[in-house]
Amino acid sequence: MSQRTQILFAILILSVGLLMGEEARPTGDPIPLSTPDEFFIAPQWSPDGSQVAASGQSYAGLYVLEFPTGNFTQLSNANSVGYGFSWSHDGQHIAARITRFENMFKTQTLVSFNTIDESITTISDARSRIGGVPRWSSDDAHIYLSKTDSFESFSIDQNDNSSLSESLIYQKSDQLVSRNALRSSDSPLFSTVDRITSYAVSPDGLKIAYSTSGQKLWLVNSDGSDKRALGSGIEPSWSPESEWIVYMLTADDGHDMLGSELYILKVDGNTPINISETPDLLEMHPQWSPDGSWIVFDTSGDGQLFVQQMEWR
Amino acid sequence: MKKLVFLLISVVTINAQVTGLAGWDLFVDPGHSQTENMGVNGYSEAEEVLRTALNLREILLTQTDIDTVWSSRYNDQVEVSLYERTSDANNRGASWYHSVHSNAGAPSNNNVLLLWGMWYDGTPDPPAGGEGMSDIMVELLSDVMRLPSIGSRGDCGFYTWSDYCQNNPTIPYLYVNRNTTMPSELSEQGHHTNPLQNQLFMNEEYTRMMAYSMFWTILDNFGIARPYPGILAGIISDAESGIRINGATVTVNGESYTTDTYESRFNQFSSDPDELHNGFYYFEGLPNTSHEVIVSAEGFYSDTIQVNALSPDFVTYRDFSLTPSTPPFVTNSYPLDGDSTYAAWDILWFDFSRGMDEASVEAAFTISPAMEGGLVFSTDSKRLAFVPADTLEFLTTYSITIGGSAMDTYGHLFDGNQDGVGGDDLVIGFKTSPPDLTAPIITSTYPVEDADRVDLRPIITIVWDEELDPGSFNDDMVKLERIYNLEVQETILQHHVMDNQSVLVLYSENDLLDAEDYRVRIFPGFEDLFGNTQGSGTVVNFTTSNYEYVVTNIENFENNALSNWWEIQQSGSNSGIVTELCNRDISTDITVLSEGSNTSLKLDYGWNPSATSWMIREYLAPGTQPRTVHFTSSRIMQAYVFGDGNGNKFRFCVDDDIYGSGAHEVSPWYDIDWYGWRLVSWDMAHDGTGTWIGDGSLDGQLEFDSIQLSYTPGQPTSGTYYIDNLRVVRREYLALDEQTAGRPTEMALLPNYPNPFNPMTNIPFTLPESAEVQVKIYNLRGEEVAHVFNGYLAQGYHVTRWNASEVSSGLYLIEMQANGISNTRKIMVLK
Repeated sequence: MSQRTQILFAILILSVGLLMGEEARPTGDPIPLSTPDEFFIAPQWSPDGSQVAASGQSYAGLYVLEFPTGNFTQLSNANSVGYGFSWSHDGQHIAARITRFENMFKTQTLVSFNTIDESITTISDARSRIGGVPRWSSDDAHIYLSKTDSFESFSIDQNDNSSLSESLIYQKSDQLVSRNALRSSDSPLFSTVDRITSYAVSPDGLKIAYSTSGQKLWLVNSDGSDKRALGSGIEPSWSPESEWIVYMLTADDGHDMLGSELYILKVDGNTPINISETPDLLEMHPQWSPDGSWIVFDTSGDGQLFVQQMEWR
Repeated sequence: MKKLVFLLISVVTINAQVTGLAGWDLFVDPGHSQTENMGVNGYSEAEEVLRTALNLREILLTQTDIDTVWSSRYNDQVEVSLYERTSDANNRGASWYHSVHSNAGAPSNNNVLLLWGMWYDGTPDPPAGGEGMSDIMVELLSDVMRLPSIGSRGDCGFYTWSDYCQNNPTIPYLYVNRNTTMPSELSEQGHHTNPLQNQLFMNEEYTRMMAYSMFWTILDNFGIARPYPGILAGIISDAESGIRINGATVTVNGESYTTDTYESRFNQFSSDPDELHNGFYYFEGLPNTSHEVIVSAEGFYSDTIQVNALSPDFVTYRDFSLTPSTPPFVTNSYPLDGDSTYAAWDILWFDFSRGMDEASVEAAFTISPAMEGGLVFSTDSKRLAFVPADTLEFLTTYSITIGGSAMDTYGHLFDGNQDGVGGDDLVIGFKTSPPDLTAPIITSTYPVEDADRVDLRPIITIVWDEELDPGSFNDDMVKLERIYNLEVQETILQHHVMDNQSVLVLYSENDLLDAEDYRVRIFPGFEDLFGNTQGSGTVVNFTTSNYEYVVTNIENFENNALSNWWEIQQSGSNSGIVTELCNRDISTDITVLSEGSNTSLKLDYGWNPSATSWMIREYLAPGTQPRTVHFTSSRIMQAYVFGDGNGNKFRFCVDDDIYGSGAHEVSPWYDIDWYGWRLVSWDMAHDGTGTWIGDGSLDGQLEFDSIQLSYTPGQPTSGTYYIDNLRVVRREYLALDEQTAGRPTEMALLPNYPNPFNPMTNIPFTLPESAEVQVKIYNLRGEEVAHVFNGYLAQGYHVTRWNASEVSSGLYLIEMQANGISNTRKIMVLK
């Protein structure tokens, strides 16, 4: 971790501690992070909150935008590379899948983009399918797949053949499982017949917000206990002090997306607060900034990024 | 029976592993969830496309070396949002995405459509591939379903009524094409709003057959030879009626297939055993040899054909039209046997169960006592009418005989007693009614006598007990007059005949004065069709309202407004309808003439009385101009509804909280038990809501969603409503009406009218200049009993009103005071 990153993390930790127990509310109108003639979707904050990575149209291309200027760098223009990418914890790399189609067959390769020098490192060989989205181990030495049918991890160092030796929670075959690193075995966090459609582990590691089919939103302790319904929503993202989530709730008629709104919710049971009461926009993919001060989101239909400032009191 | 079919399938698949798909996978997306987008006969798009998708998955997994096939859902219970469908495929890194749908539209519409991701300039959305797959699939799906195709279309080139692609020129229109990271397309496999198609979808093997077209599409696209399917399929129908036959049995190679029956399938969608049919049969995995195919069904002659060779790579179709073996009989007649009220001047008719040999029927037809007349056949010789040369004798018993020698077009002898054996007579005895010697009478008026708060521009309806001779009356025989000065108002009179009754509709061309007494005078002289003349006139008195409406128009149904509204059958919320009787159109014949309307919305409805729930949701299409009219629950929603008197139901539906969570709320039901126009008003702040899928609370901003109709059990099952000038209004109260004609030069308390009265009277007065005015009522003991008015008024003529319902009969005094001057006048309450 660079000295600059270490300093930024220290500031983040201090500021996050100040947010504990406070109420979050949006303040002011959303501020455009990109211009109307640019197209970005699915934004994700860098760990230090200084950048936002996003994808382009139909998840083609991968970009990094400076916050708050919106100046951006294109890391890739590949098809579908922008779906399910993941920042490394040190904020220097982004893991993603590159997909190539030829004669209707595809090959997929796991890669890591260096956000500083914009170089690309190939992590896996090209194969017919990378069945899951990449996530980083806590030491950034490995990438593993979540939302997959079987666990698989990849070493960043091509000379390192070690496997990931870290216990973690990931999504396997539509369920959330806990992986025991010592035994290299998975066990379901809890029993459910519902299909998991999105999840987020709280920054303190104690809770998981997740959704199941039909945009049903739930909260469960990270040991699988005390599961309870939070209402309707999908794609939760935690605030840094692990007390609030932001999520989206969409409406469609089977063909078209008719509406999408963003809500924040204190997970101890408060009523959701709509933070996007704009009738003409489809606000999607919200993400709380690492310091809790902003929520970034896209307007899916027309591909613009906005940030909503949050007030804590 | 169907177990045998699947046994055959398993035998074939063991021996038919197709290679060439290793390394490839498919995400198949059965669109919608649960029972969304209900089909016209009660089978939803969501259920039908799920079975197609799962059959495709099963075929691919069992017959090919494909890596895997996922589905966005695997049962009818789970709910999956659009976002979740594409995210699931993207997470898995699927190679291809195919979304399965069926279409909606008018009942007659039924076709196949493929939509692939395309940009505004025609460029295929990368990663490309959906276009090529669609080009193949649209042909195969069309051929398998034997339906016309409207093509393989790039989505931006298809949805040209939307400006989305123009504004976002490098993004495809459809969400599934826009948000998937792999090649994709969406198929529309026929219309679930087409009755025949919806009933075919109910057959499990039919959805498998559609899946085969998608399976073959994939193989063709990869250049892989299709395996031999051994599929024989077709439709079995009644040669006479064309109706598809339930319970027909097809036997091939010693195996049999029985077409769906009410007991096996259709009871899930209808309580009427005769309503649903598909006549579909299906064999798969038949050996590639010559086959004898035997078809039999109760009540029909069986049929046998030889199929020498099945198609090596497609469905082999053989349809059957079976000839009925039952004798013909009469299904309905006028009069019925035993009828004692048959109108002697009417035409007699008989409906046969099938087309008849006309010559044999004419030879077998007799009427006694004898009456000259002509026999006229219609409806493919299924209806026989006897047109008497003259009116039958009144109060006379007649009998009509159709002899057992009459024959149908197949030569079956007529079955007069309907015992299933031909050759016997039908005898219908009836008695004619007395002659009509009664003058027409008025059975109802709207407004009713002494109605209060009548609209300032009223539409007056006069309903008679029988049809009037239109030559017996003219516009001068119905007059609208102001009672105070007998001034005749300008009106338009229209004559409608509904349910054999005349309905006169009188439109006021101008606003009447507020809180003013008027009367409708109906003069004598109206005649019925038999020359009986109404000998006395009728007067209907009413009082106008003391408020006017400030109108915000939602939809006036002018200027090609029909495009704003869905076909009735497009809505998945419908239930209990007879689809072929349901239609929406624009009418130029029946409109609200008093408001200058040229066109109205005409809604024909037909209800299945055997259903358990009934709903028509005439839906206002998204994105249309009327949807831009937003309002709150402080307003009153109104529409003019021209009723058919059937007593069925009508209500409004709005979307509420449109900038928030959004929901649907409805008005209470209104029983349409009237003829002619009525202004239906839903005072949203005070009338409450009905029960549907909302929470009963009208929240936030509202917009109009739909007109909804329903059936009242026991009432007529078909009819027509006309809707005009849909709007929201607010009331603006007018304390007193001010006449503009003539400027009074003195203060005067004018004679009240009516007088005597019970309980309302109008108290007119004039002011030569502006003044503080008080109007009070005293009894003869000098005690004040009412303070009618107290306020500042301008110079002019004014009218105030007193309701004497709280006092007893007797003489009273009006006292009017202004500018220190007092006037009094005696008045009489007579109860």
